[in-house]
Amino acid sequence: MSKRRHKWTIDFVGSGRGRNDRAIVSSAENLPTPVGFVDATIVPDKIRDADPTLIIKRSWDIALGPIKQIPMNMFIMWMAGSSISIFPIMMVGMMFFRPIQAMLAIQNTFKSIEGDQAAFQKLVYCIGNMLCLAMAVYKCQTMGLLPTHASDWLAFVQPQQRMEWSGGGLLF
Amino acid sequence: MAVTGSIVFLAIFVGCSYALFADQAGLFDWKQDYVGKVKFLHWEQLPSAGKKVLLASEKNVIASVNAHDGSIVWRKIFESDRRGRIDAFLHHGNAVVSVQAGGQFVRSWHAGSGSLNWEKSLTTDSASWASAFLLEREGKRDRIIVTTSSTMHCLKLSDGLEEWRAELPNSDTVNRWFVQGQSDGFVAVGVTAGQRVTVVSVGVEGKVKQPKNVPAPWIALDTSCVIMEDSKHFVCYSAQTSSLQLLSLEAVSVFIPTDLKELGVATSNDSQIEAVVPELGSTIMFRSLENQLVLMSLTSQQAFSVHKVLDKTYTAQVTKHAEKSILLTLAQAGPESLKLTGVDFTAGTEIEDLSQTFPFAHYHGHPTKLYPFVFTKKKDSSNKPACKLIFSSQDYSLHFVQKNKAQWRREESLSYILTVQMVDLPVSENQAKFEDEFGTKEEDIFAMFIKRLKAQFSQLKVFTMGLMDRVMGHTHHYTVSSDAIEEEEPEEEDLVRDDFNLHKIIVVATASGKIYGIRSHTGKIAWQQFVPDLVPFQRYGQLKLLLLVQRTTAHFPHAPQCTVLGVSKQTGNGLLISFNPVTGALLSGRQGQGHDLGFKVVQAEMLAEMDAEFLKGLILIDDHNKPHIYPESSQSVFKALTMQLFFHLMNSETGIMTGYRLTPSASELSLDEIWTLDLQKSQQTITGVYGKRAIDLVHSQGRVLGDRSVLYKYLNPNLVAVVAEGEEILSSSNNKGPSAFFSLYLIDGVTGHIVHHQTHKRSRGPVKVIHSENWVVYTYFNEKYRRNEVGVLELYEGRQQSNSTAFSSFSPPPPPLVMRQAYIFPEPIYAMASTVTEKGITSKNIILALKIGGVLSLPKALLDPRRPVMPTQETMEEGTIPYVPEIPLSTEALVNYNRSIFNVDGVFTSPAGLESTSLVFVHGIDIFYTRVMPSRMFDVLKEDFDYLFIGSVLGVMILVSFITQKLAARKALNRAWK
Repeated sequence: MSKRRHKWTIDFVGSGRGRNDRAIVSSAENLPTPVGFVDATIVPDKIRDADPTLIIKRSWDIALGPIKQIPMNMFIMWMAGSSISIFPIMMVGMMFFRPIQAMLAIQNTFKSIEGDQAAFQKLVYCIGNMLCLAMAVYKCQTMGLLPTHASDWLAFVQPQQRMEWSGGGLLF
Repeated sequence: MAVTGSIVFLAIFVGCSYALFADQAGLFDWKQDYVGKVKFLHWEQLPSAGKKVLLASEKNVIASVNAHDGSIVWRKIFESDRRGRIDAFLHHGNAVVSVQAGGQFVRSWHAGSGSLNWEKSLTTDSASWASAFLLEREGKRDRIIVTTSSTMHCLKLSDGLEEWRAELPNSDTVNRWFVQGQSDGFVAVGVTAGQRVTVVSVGVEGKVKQPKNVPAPWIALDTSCVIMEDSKHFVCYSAQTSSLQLLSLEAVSVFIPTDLKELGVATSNDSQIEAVVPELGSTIMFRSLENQLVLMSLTSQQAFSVHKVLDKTYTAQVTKHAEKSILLTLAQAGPESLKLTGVDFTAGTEIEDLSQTFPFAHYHGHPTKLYPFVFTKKKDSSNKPACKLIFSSQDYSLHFVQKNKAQWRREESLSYILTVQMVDLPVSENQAKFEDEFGTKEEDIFAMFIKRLKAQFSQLKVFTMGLMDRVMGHTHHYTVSSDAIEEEEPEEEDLVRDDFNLHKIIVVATASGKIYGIRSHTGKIAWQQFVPDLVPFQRYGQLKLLLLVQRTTAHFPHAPQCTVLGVSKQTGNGLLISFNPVTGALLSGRQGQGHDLGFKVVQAEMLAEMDAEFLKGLILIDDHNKPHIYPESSQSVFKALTMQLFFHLMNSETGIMTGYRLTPSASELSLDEIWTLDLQKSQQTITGVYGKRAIDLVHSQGRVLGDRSVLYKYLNPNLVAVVAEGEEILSSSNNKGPSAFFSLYLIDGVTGHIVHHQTHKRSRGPVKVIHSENWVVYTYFNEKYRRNEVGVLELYEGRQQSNSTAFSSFSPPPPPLVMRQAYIFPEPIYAMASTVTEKGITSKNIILALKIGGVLSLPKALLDPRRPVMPTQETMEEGTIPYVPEIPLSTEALVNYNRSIFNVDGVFTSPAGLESTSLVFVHGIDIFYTRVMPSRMFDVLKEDFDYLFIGSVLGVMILVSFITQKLAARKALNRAWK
């Protein structure tokens, strides 16, 4: 017996009768199922056989995903310019954020990579993310956000210690 | 170009940020007006006599002062050099006449308003002294006789028209004339300093009779002389021989000396002839000691005899009132009070009504001159005389006394400030307790806990007391007693550091020997000390006192200590006065005496290292180049000293700079000469040696350039800037006049190495110099273009720092890059200083006291030798302002807005507790205090910050977020139920 009650079923005689007068069609609750009716969705034993080429293809899709983003990122970088304002900063932030997020979720991603080329694909995936990160760093560099110059560390330079003390001046 | 324009525009308006709002005027700043040491004083005659006094001072000021409260009614300030010197000051009716600069300027002023009636120029010789007096003819006083060095003029008082003039003889040598009117003309005695006197009589209409010369090699320009009332005798006091020199003007032959010792009259440095006393015939009033006056009469045998000795009398004055001659004397009555006595001269009886006894604090020294005003009381018909009294005292202060009360006084010594320091106020008792808690380490936890409890309990107590005070309202804990001579006693909780350490004690030492502590936030005098023995060092007419902070307020159980170094008036030796700068209590020696060092001091410097008691020692060099240390206990510093000590002495008479090594040995210090540097005395004179201030910290060790590399600063702590001024010797080819020049040397004070040298031709001083961080800013007058210019030098090590940890002059970095530029400055200046802040992070401003009366706060960025002539992308990245030859003078950057100050002697800056703020104190005739924020107030919220608005917005937002959270939750629930 199917427990499934479809929307379009109208119960004319059932328990709903008392509260719903409009129900005019009785459900086939107590009725025998018609011939040929099988009260179960047909689940094939095996939908299809595992196609190794497909798995590899799919895994390659995942592995090459980050690398495919690189041209797009380059375009965004070029568009954003190197001025320090909210929009380019957001762009750079995104560019940092996505690869890092991907690297953090690397375990989940690796689960879906299967096949005999998995190790290589994982490596490619990592390299792609690294490339994205490197591009973000490069972008920071062009924007002057990296403390690579001596001037960036100037505030931490300690004053020189005085080795001699001297005093004097014009005679009184 | 538009970018350039906008940057220039920005540069011009950088100053805007320093401008005040109208309602902020007087909130952070104060100004006090002074007149200086009084030279002449007259009681105003019209419209109602005795309401105001007219005075002229040694600071070249004439002023009218309200006798009621001592406030200035009007004031005229003249040049501080001899062009402004006031030689004579007369008052008649509603006119005041000032004779200035040896008769170069004779000006008549309206006594009530101070407006100029007329002005006349009689001579161009301002070196000699003029004399003037009102001529009384036929009962009218409508003419004045002014005598310059060469001529005698009779001017109408009303409009200054010249009635007649007489050419006087020996005009090329005579320095000053003593003139007196007699029945048939005038008698004039001319003094030629060190040579002779010239006696000449002038007829009524200016006819000069034959002059006679009498040799008088002892006479000087400032010798006190008088012509006797009978116009027949001329008397001088010769200080070398302690004798009175009498010259008969009728039979001019020779001066007849009268030895005062034979007469039994003591003499001292103060001795001089004070006045003639015509009421007693041929009598003079002679000051023998600072508290003794002698009346001496001329006998018929051309000699003097003592008429009366006014013992224990500081000053006396004879006045006429109601047909009586009254001798008013001022004498000590008690330890802190004075007594005025009036004696009827003719009857010889004391007038009881004039007697007054009034309080007089010891820190004013003793009275020096008396200016009485005797009047008849109008209220009762008894016609009793009464007296208003103004007297000046040793510390230059001016006191007003009436009805046994000291009504007001003016501390005129504050216009003679020579040196300034600002000292932190001590932390409050509570904070001191906290500091005590963390200060000692070797205590167990329990004791520390008890301490903490105690500290917090006292904190609670203070808080509740404050709360109670606020609830109850302010109550007067003390009543002002009628004879209180002090300003209101400084209350204990008042002299406590504020949150941002903005309130300080300004310690000043003045030329009169008086030391003041002034509260920086109100300008009131917190304490004062008078050391009569203290006189400043005199170097080519420049006065100098040293004020050093030996121990700051930071070392809590130890009291702070300041020391003034000057010269003892008695012995000429160095004199040290040590005191607590917060309370003013003298530390060493007897009250008001100081510590006589027993040797002459030629140079002194404070060590950088503190001894076990947190005291910084003073190194004093005596005139035999022997070093001394004060206090002796500081000797211990040398044991743990890591630095080597060096000294350099610049002798401007020889033009030789000598470097010494200071070697502390077990028993005593020794000074070993290591180098000499000859700066060519034959061509130029050294006018100044400028080192860096010890408190001037440099936070950033370099400058960031446009390409983000660093240009390291050349920060040599031993570098001194030496300025030498001279006149170029003429070459025969150009027949122009001699042209002035000055040289600027940057010399390492340890090794004597000349780091940089440059000469400005056709420019003359006075060169004012600021030496700070890695730059030198100096101002001078360019004779070629006849304008004031300001030059700037900046020194850089380069892109690499040769030694990033230590600086030694013996292994110096490669010769520094010297960048320099000069700018046109639109106004002449009196003095300048650069701002100092706590950590040196804030950018610097230059504080300039302009001769137009303003105090300008100029960003150092405008005086930057890296300002590019052609701005490029890189220089814009660096943030330098494109070069414009003129420095803009924006009136918004005048920190004293409309409170103009003239004749400024110096500008002093001091850091406050806030990094953004620097305190500025300008002194001259007036004193002015304010605070400046060179990089604006970045560390404090502005006063107009709307706490209520921001707070309420924040509150409402929190509330709204709560409500919306609830509403959203309810809505989600409802949706779930659907």
